[in-house]
Amino acid sequence: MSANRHPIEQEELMAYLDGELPTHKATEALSHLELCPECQTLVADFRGVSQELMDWEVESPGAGIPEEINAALGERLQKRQAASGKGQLAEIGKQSDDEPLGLGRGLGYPLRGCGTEVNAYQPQSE
Amino acid sequence: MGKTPPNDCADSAGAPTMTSDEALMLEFQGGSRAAFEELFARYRKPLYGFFVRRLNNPERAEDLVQEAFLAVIRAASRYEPRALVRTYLYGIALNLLAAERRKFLTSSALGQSAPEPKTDGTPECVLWVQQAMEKLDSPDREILMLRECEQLSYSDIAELLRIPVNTVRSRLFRSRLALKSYLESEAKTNPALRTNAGQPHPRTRGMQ
Repeated sequence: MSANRHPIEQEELMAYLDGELPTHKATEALSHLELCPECQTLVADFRGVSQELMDWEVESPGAGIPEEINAALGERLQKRQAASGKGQLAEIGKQSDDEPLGLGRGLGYPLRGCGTEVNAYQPQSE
Repeated sequence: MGKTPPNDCADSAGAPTMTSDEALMLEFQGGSRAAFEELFARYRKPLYGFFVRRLNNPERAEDLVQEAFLAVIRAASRYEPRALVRTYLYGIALNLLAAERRKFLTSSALGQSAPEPKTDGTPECVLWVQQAMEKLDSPDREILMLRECEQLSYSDIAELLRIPVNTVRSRLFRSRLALKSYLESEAKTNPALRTNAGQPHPRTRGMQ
């Protein structure tokens, strides 16, 4: 695929299909795609791969909220209610048992949503 | 491809008229059980799919989904809506997955065998895709799955894996081409298997 004949890179074409190109680039990609059989084939290939993965269905998990979650939820809401009653909302997060499972303790994900930054997840080589 | 409505492989929840995940999380933070239950209903299946596709073990996947939601409950007070709840949940899921894999590695080092992946009842076409996926490099496979199965955006994936967006894009490109190649070569050696790769799929024909 030469740069002269294809004003858009293959990677950009893929990004276009993923809805990840800015509007002006997407318009350019679409215009080219309408006229280029070679890129149409590439697009069909990408869509074929996506379809294979979309066909990878899994069965549904069990129904209902598991008991352990219900219990933790009840405990959590009770604590919050108690703290709220005492005007101690700001203290909730400081309770020792409030630490999530490994979160903020080096499990890896940068939990910016939790106000905690730790190491990044690193996929492991197998 | 693109931001498509949820399906079984991309069952993230949310419709335009629904309360946003972030609003629900804040309501839960404020003490709403109903908000948590709604989040649970939206994300139980996507998270289950996340684990079961990677571990091939439905029972363990159920356990890990439970652990993920327990982590959400325990961390609720510190949640700030700077990250999408969806990204936040998959971040927790990735951590749990990494911990699970480390556990298996430790077990293996101690001479204990890890549970065999369960393939009973798995359709042949799914086994075929699984086998092709296993041939990809682990980081590339993870990026491909986060994009195709969890339907995360390039920037969501970049944020989760703490890599540049351009790296996400180039690895995704590489892994899609590699997967297509594996699937095509498999189809040649086993013509009984159907393939979508390399030819327009019935559902996408005419979309170009």
